[in-house]
Amino acid sequence: MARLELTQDEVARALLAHPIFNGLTTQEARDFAGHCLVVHLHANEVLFHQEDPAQDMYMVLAGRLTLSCVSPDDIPVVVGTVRDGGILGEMGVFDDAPRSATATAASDVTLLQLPGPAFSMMVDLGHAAAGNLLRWLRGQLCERLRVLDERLDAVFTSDNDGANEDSVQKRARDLWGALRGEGEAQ
Amino acid sequence: MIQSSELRHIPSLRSLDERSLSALAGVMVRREFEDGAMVVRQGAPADGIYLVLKGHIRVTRQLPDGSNVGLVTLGPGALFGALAALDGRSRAADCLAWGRVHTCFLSLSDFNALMEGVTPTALRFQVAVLRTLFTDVRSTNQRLAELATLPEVDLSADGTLITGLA
Repeated sequence: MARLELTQDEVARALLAHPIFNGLTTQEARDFAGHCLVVHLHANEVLFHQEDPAQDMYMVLAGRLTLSCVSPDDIPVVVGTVRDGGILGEMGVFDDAPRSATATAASDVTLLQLPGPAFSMMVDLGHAAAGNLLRWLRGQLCERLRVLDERLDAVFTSDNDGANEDSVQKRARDLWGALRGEGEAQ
Repeated sequence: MIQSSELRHIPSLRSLDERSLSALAGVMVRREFEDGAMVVRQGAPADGIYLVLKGHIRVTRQLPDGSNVGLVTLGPGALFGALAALDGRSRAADCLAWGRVHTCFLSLSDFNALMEGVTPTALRFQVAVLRTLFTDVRSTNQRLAELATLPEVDLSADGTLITGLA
């Protein structure tokens, strides 16, 4: 992983082009940009591994990453893709848990890296950019949790007409990969 | 009235400083429930969120076929009811008092004011709420992963998911 030397204004322009940061002033975007790093990965380079400690979150500026994790029966599976504009790695920054998946560059990738401590500092300052990011993340999370509820219903509900004859275990197994993929792939 | 000292050791609120805790305590009210009381009913509109101070809350979900599944048991420090308060949709599960339960309640209007604010107190509170939601996502994913590896899923008579998952 190599660090790219972009100016604060260039990073600010990239931020303002993203819907998350709608409504920010140029100065607010510059402030936020001052806490970010821009990094580049070649295809097949690993950004982080499953179970690594989580310290930073990332926004994809260009390129594509795949997310993979080890299934309950120890088989590595690709569970999602993150493309331009996607956020990844945010979950562990909030709950201090280790990475739940391995992120690997599927092409050359450019990322904005926001260190967790810098984000905490912006929260402590009451910075508008932190507010925008938090608002976007909770919108994503609410949608994800509603989908989880619906899918849990599907796992536990057996159809009286016999159309859903799979076991709870099989339905849970079928959904597991998809749910994990939606976890950090947003 | 809630004292900030009652909130100081809540893990999800650890990012709030003393001033923020005092501000939060000032808008929360105490609510107590007897064993078996329905604190939140699935399908109802959200009127606010709760924080468990003492006791336990059992979270169960009614399925489309009319049966119930126990999802999780929440203990002291748990924040619940945030999902419906955030997205304006109905409550996603029943939350019942398991034994006598002491909670702090934050009304929807005060919750919304905090979620829309950009003061340090508001943003720190938003981080606490997000932390809770991320925990919900992780625990649900974990439950599904565990279910997928079980030889059989055993539902007890009351529909509670096997011991250790509920």
